[in-house]
Amino acid sequence: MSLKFLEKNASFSASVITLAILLLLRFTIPEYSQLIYLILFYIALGLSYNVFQGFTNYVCFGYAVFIAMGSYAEALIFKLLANPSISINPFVVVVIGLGLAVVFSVGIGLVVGAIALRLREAYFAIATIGLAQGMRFLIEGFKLWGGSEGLIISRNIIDTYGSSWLSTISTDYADMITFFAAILSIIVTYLLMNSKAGYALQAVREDEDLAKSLGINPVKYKLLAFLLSAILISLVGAGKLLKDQAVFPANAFSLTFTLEAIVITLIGGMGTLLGPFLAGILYAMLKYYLTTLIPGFQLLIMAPIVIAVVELFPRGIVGWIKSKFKGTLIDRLLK
Amino acid sequence: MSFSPLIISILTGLMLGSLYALIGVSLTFIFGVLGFVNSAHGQLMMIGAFITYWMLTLYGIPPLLSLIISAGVGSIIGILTYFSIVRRLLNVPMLYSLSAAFALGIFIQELANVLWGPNYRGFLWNIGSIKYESFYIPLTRILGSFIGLGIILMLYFFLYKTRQGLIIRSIIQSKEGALLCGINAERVYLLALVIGIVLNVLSGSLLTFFVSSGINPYMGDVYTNIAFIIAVMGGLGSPEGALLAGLIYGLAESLFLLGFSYVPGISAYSATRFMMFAILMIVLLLRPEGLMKK
Repeated sequence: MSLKFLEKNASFSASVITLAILLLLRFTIPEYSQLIYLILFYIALGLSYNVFQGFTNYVCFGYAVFIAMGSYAEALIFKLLANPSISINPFVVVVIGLGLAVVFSVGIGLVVGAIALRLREAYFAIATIGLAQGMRFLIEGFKLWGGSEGLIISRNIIDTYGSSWLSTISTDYADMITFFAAILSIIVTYLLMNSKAGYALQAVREDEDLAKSLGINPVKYKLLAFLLSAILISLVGAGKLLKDQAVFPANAFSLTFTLEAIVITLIGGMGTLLGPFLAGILYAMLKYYLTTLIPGFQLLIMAPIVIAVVELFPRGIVGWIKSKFKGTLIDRLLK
Repeated sequence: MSFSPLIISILTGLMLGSLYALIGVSLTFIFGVLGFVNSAHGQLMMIGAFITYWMLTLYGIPPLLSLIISAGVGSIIGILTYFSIVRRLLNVPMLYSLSAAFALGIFIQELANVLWGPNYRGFLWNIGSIKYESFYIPLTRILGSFIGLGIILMLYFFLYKTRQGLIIRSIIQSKEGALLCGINAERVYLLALVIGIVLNVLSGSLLTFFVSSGINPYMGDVYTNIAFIIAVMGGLGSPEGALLAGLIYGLAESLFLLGFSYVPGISAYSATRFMMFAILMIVLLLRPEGLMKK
């Protein structure tokens, strides 16, 4: 095994192995399942957001929309297909729901991305600030999909599959989907770091005009990153629906997820794989142990952290270590 | 069929439009000078609305007078924000200043929630009204819209009739050029941010002249959006554009609200908000440089 191969794959392998260990723990020690779900959730949230922000330097303030769309897609499919008159295997229902989640996120991502990614960062950020609210008002205003009352699927599950399925779906199914999304986001990040499309994207990020003059179409690649990021996080949203078995517009579009995604990406180190991965684990553990201590203060604590990181520590943990050991093996191993 | 709902709707729209113009002007002004997108805009307006509320309910200070206090608080916030957040982010990728301002907004609203609780608050302030057919137009609204226009006019005079104004305009036009001419950018940035945030907080206080209920920590989000839509429609960075766009926005919103209220089975308020987001997307698609740009 050559050093070059090791450098290229060390971070990737380390994160995949860590995920595998987490999965093993999940099945051997049931008490940890809630914590492990949170860890998987935040790894996936951080990494999939990083696929967009880390590779484009654009900020998306409406990221919660794609989580919400994943949840709504899964909920709609359950409402439609999980009823006693048509007996479809719950696994199939869940998979169809994931399919719809992808359709929804690609649809919205295409419209918003194609319009706003042509423009400078400020315009894109502005468009996406309106996005979460716009979608929420669409659902509440035109009373779509349950309007402001939201969609609740636990009744459908009980009536169709019996009450024993409630916990199977909210634990095993939800955890597996989130695991799937986390591993997929690691793979996508790895591919973006080591593929032609990824190199093009990095070129656009570093100098858009220069990249253009080399024949790279910036909008195309930014849109690609945006859509990949949207698809990944919509899967997490679908998993979240199975966990909560309900989706309400007031929570689904909340700013919290967006801020969490930004925090994890920035603290870990934008554009790296290990950064958001480690920060996601760290954040999930902090949240798991702190929520009981200081309920309701999460945003109040997190917001100043974002400001502090941006002001003092803009490269994040991994970025900082890399710059400390610039040119050494450590720099090359940490991706 | 009577046309009076339509006439009232247009009048309300224009009056609200002058408030919206102020909202848009303060956002676009900060962006024009500092290149800083103030995504905490709505939350700073919330602070303004709360100042008016507390001054009236705690000390009996009428809303007109508390505008002065709002301006004072606004300038303090402006100075603090400049030295703690904005200054170090002027020459780094925009991503960082965007994230910081976004976090600042969330911090302000969460702090307000801890201090004052999530309840909706409001007050009664009646100085009479004008009757038109079966409709009443409260005088506070008329007063509010004139104050809004008056403040914009003052900004205009400051920008076009004073030396400091000239310097600020030169930075809006060409930062490099202004720096080459020996302008102390640091001082101009501080001044512009303070002016922008004073206008920002004032617009929140003026909002209570139009709607004196529903004051709560999370009221800001909607106005951040409105501010952005207007600033983009007017051409980001152009105060004149924001003035025009604000009036158009107020009128359009009012007419949508009227129209949707005739459609059964939908919520007119939320539907209108969605339409305004759709309009932002259309403006970004067709004229991202703003409506006025030649």
